[in-house]
Amino acid sequence: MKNYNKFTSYLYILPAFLLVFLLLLVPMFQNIYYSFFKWDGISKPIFIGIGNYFQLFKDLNFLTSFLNTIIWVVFTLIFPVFGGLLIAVFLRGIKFGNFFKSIFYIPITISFVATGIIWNYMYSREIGILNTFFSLFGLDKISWLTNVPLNTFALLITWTWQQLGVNMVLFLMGLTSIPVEQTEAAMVEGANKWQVFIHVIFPMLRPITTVVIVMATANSFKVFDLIYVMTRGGPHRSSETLAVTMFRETFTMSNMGYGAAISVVLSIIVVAISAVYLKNMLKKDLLYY
Amino acid sequence: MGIIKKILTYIILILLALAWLLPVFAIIQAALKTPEQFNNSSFFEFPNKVAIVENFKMAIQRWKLHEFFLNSLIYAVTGGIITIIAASMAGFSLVRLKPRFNFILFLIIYSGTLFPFQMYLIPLYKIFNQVGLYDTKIGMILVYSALCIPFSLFVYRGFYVTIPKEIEDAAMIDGCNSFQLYTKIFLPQSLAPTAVVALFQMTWIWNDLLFGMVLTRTGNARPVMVSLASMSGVGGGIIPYIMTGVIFTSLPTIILFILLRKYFISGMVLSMAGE
Amino acid sequence: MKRKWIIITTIIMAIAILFSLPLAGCKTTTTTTAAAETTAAAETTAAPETTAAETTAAETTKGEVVKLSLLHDKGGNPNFQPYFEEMGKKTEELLGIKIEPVPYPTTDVFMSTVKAALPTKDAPDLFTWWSTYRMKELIDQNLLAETTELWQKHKDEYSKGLIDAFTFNGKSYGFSYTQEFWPMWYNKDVFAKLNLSEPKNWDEFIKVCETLKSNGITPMAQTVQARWPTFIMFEQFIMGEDPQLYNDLCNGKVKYSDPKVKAGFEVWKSLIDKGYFTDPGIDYFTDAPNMFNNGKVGMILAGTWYYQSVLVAAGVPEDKIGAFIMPSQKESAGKNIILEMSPILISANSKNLDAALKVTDYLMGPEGNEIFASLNKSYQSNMKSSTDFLPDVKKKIASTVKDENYNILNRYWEATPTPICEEAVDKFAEFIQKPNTLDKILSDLDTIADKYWSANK
Repeated sequence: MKNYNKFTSYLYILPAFLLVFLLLLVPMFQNIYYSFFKWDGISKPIFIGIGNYFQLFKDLNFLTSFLNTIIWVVFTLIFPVFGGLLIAVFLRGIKFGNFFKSIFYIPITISFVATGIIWNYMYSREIGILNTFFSLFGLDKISWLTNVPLNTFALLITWTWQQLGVNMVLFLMGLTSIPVEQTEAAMVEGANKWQVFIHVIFPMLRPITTVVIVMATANSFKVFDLIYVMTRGGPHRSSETLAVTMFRETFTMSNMGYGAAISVVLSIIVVAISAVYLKNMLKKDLLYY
Repeated sequence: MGIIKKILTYIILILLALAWLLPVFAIIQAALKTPEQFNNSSFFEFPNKVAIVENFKMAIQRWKLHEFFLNSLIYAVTGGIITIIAASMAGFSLVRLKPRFNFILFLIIYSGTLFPFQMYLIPLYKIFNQVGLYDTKIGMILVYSALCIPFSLFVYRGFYVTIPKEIEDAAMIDGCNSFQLYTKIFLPQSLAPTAVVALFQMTWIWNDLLFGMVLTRTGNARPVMVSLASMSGVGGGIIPYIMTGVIFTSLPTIILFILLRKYFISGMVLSMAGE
Repeated sequence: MKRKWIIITTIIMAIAILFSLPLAGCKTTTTTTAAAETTAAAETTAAPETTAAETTAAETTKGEVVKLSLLHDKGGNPNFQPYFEEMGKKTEELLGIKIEPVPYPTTDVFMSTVKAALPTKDAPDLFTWWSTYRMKELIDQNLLAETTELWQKHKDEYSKGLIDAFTFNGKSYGFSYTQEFWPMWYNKDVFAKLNLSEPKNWDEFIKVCETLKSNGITPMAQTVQARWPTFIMFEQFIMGEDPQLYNDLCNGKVKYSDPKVKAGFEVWKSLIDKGYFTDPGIDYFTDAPNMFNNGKVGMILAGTWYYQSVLVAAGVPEDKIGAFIMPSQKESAGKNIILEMSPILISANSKNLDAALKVTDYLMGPEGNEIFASLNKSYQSNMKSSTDFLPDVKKKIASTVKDENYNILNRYWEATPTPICEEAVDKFAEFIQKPNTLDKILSDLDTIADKYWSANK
């Protein structure tokens, strides 16, 4: 029944729209605009068309950074996402479930800065806990954050520590919405636990799985604070991902135009990936319209 | 479940939980020691005396954590409230009032979640300078709200879609206008998504580093994470003080989680059941 | 239906773009007018002959305290915030002008924010920065206020080398609030136990390293963590070949693949290969002092600021800390030491230019220049300030440099253009971890340097 005043319907959206338009969209377009210039922030910008973009694809460092980003995304899907699912399944119906849930969830509530600082300390070569344990057992000390490619994986361990909880919680919510009758009916029909999982539970988790994957993927593409606080993308740029490279070019090297171009490329990728999943999810809603 | 499977599950869970708690144990231990003891003892020695209060005093004195703490509190609460109001209103309108270009408007706002935040920094900095919002509390609140609205809109919209049309029709028969529909029907039911939004977004605002660093300058407007980051600046840091700072600045979000946990989980369950 | 959506989207995007265009373009106009104002302002403040100390509060605006902002990135460790606040209190007392220091936690964001602010009306009044090339890029854009008259006024209180470092094309900018030498810190207890004394030449130095190593102690600390410390040993080994070579390399007159430069690297490489350095994964500011204290590492090359804010703060007893100046590997290179000069600069667009210049005048004088130095126990730049507060070990270094006529060379971070430096430190890190790839690294360094010099002759 669409007999509401069209005007009022826009009015409700206005605050949200204004804020987002003025403070996010306009800067975003400015950023795209800057990406066509060579600019160091203090002198006059020089128009170079798509010169920045050309340079990107020739830049070896950009390609390494891109590869690292892919590693981050893949790893995120395996450990924080799939691991979250596994733990959610384990936790189902366990006594003290809430206790365990809280332990895994709390790391997401602390900031990236705090996480980075804590894990810097954990990974510290001389005074860090991990190495202290290692030397207890007579093993050699490891330079977690400066050995390539160990450093990226050390960062990913920290990332998992922090992010697994949120995925786990979302999956748990999905799991609780599955009516027990369905699983019971399947078990009555002779399915074992594993088959129940694959054929009953997993399909019913589809909506929540979509949300989790889209969120986790977008987040892993954008991760910056953690890497910045722990290794600054080093040593010698080996642990940089696209977001870190963008920051480095904009703030450290003062190549504002180049940094803007990198952020544009990154955004296109994130939008493209999200679009694939969003399309599926929104098809349902479009029918509603 | 077989007994063996059950025991195995517990063992795995306990091991994982221990692994997860190890960092927490490390920081508490470091925060309790004095800097002298920390540097001269091994990890396994227990603290001689509980120095956390002195460490805390040092952290406050030298880095003025309490000022920034207050700023972040204002940002999280005010930003959160603005976000909740704006996003729930917009979600309501998109779902029920269905203006034209519905979908496009939603996508435009939702796109805010897709772009890496750093790309907004320098343009925002220039804009703020020109309109005089640089280094102001208002500027920060507006920016934080703008950043939180996209995801919140997504949550509210997803939730509102599940409210049965019958309720709306019944209300219309009773002669409600849109505002009453919003406040008397939609809002009261929104406890669940509001808990989700409040938890995620207020935590996000509290934990922000980049926007705080770039868009503020003085203690007037600076958020707390910037001061935490500065405790270990160009030349390393004194671990017991830093860890005390970490604990102090992480407590609010942890407390928020504990408070909202019940609403959060049961709320999401309800919204899922409503499907 | 679909067509309508496309039209509306395009209209919205067009509006957004229209919005963004005027905002994106317009900052360059402010700088030219500001530059014109600066020279006028500098001339008027030269007039009052009275020293800053005699200026009473009555001379400034009636009772109102002028507030100057001082932006810096030294808010963490070392933490200069309390020292700057002291400076501010003193100037408030004596001049009615208060300095409000604002710390930034990381250098990159600090640099970009300051650079973005300088052309606007929100430019900081004062800010810490780095000398030589890092100052030059701001001067080229007319973003700094001149202090030429003030330097003239105080010229008997400063060494010529220092004055020159702050002068570009006959004009001077900012002032120096502290300077740091870069000696080799060593653990006195360890040395005493092994009967070692401070080496006076390269052979003695190598012997010290050998003795330490054969007694299970790593001779020197080195790191790739935190990115920037990788140039520390680099500058030592290049200037140890020939100080002129170092200067030429920094100014682009010599290539990185030059055989003499390569020779310097090879000395570095041989020491790495002999295991005279720690694993580069250690942190220079948390692990290193710890290892120093426990006698696991014998020597650390660092600025004189390392003493107070890193070593002593980490609990190393002061009588354990000694310092000597690392000898050059070639006798012909003579005696060299690296100096780090720390300027505070004044923005051309500062809203309180007069006050900033008044404050600078005071802080350049013997009394003012001492405030920060005495709190930080570092070297003041004004020759007439007292040095009583310096710990003995620092006094010794300063007098050695003076008495034995050491060549004073600028730190790599400032002595070479920023774009080269920022990429070079990553290359040095690569070298430290993989010294066998020396030739490739040198050629990569050449590529980096050429990219800059060919565009900026």
